[in-house]
Amino acid sequence: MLVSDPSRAEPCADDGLIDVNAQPPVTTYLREIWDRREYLARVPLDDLRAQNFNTVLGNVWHLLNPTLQIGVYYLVFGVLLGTNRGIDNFLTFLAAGVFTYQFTQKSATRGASAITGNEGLIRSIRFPRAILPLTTAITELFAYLPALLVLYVVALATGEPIRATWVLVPLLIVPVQLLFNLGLAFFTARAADLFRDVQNLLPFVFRIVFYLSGILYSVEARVETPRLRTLFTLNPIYAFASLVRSAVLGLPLNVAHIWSALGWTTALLLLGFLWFRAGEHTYGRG
Amino acid sequence: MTRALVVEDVHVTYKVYGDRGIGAREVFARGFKGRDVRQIHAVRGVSFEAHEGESIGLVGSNGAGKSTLMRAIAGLLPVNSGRIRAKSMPSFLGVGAVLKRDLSGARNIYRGCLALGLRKSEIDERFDEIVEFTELRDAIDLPLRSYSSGMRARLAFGIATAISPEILLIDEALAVGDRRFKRKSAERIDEIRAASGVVIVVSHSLSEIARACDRVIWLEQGVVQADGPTEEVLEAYKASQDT
Repeated sequence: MLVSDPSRAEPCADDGLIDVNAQPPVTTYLREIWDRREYLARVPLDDLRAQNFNTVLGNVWHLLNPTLQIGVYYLVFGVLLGTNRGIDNFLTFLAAGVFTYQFTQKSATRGASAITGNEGLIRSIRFPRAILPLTTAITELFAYLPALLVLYVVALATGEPIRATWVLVPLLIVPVQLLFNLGLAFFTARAADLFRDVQNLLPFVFRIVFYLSGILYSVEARVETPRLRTLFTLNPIYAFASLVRSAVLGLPLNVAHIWSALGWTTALLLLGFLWFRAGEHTYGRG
Repeated sequence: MTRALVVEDVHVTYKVYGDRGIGAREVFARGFKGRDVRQIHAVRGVSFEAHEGESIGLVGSNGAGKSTLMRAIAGLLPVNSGRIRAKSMPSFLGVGAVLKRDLSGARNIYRGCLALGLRKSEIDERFDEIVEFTELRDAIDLPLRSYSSGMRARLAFGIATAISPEILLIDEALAVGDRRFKRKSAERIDEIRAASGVVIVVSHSLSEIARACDRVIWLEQGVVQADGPTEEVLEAYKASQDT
């Protein structure tokens, strides 16, 4: 394949014609994405609106859905199974964990169809394909914001005072987690384009992650072995969930969780972007 | 005449996955060989040049590689060898250019134009003009799935020509339009040519090609059979099809 041959990317000075197949350098690629920032501002909101287009309650579902979910989890795990041992405010603990987990889980799962679900667009318009996983990550960010509102309402309703640390969630934790999700979406988007089977596997992978991330139970109260605790700290979803819980419930911040979250985000975003871009030319061929 | 598009010895190959059974019985009988992956060598060494103000028709039997060549020129399919150069990025218009079926025509116009790299303010300015051209005023807020194929083609045509491309590639998209739309799109094509652009049309309707193009390239099994004035090439092509 001559596609990656760098000599082809050089502009032809002799007659001012451009090579239509040339892979632009990273800086040009990033600028092309920046040029389409209005796409990124508009399309995610359109997609969200379209999700509940056919329902009577419409956009109210973006608030209702997280509320009902917390109700169901509370009923099953808090009341019936009693996994709330060692947790003072189980409802808020649960809401923080479930919403944080879902923010990442939905970005990764929907990211898997960013390429495969947009073939019409890919096959007719040329644009930097990274726009597509970016759109997914931003869509899920907008979907997460109502859930965050529900989280604060639950915290207030269960007797938590308004804390200054609450602003840390939207100002610091959510932006970092957004970048983490984006990195993940870059991976799942290309992986699903290479092997469609990824889309069928992801729900099971995330089911396991769900149970291993201390969403329903307190790792501090139940996991005693230090080595096992280290493994939990290395789980980025547990790290993000713990950070959100610390900020909302006013618990001391665990510095190891901050490093875990930042480390994973940097690595995933960088490697995910590079791997995704390496496949730029292959999208829409299948 | 100034060259606007140069295609040099282009080869395009793509992979398709065959639907060979991978059930237990087949694997037992034949042994496991993995998926049936085939290389399709769709374009085999095509070269031509297009000059400013030219409109070229591309004809050939089904599977001749016409659509593949068009997608390669648009930069949507990578070439395996050879080179395609143009004075600016070509704009592609195909029947499959359906964007999002669940969204309205208006939202699709914004989505498509923003992906093309237009600013929102630029689209706002041209929106009425696009809607006027596509004649979808009454249906513009309805989801695309309620559109007929002709309406979709009109919408796609409106989006693809919104940026007044210098090189426009039309793949069968005009075939589904009615007479009125064909006339309007012919006018739009003339406008592009008058602005020293290039238009390449793929169509099975030879009368349409004869009307819109002054030059025809005949492609067969990925190879150029003839390239010349419309009348001559169409004559030869018709003769080959009738035997």
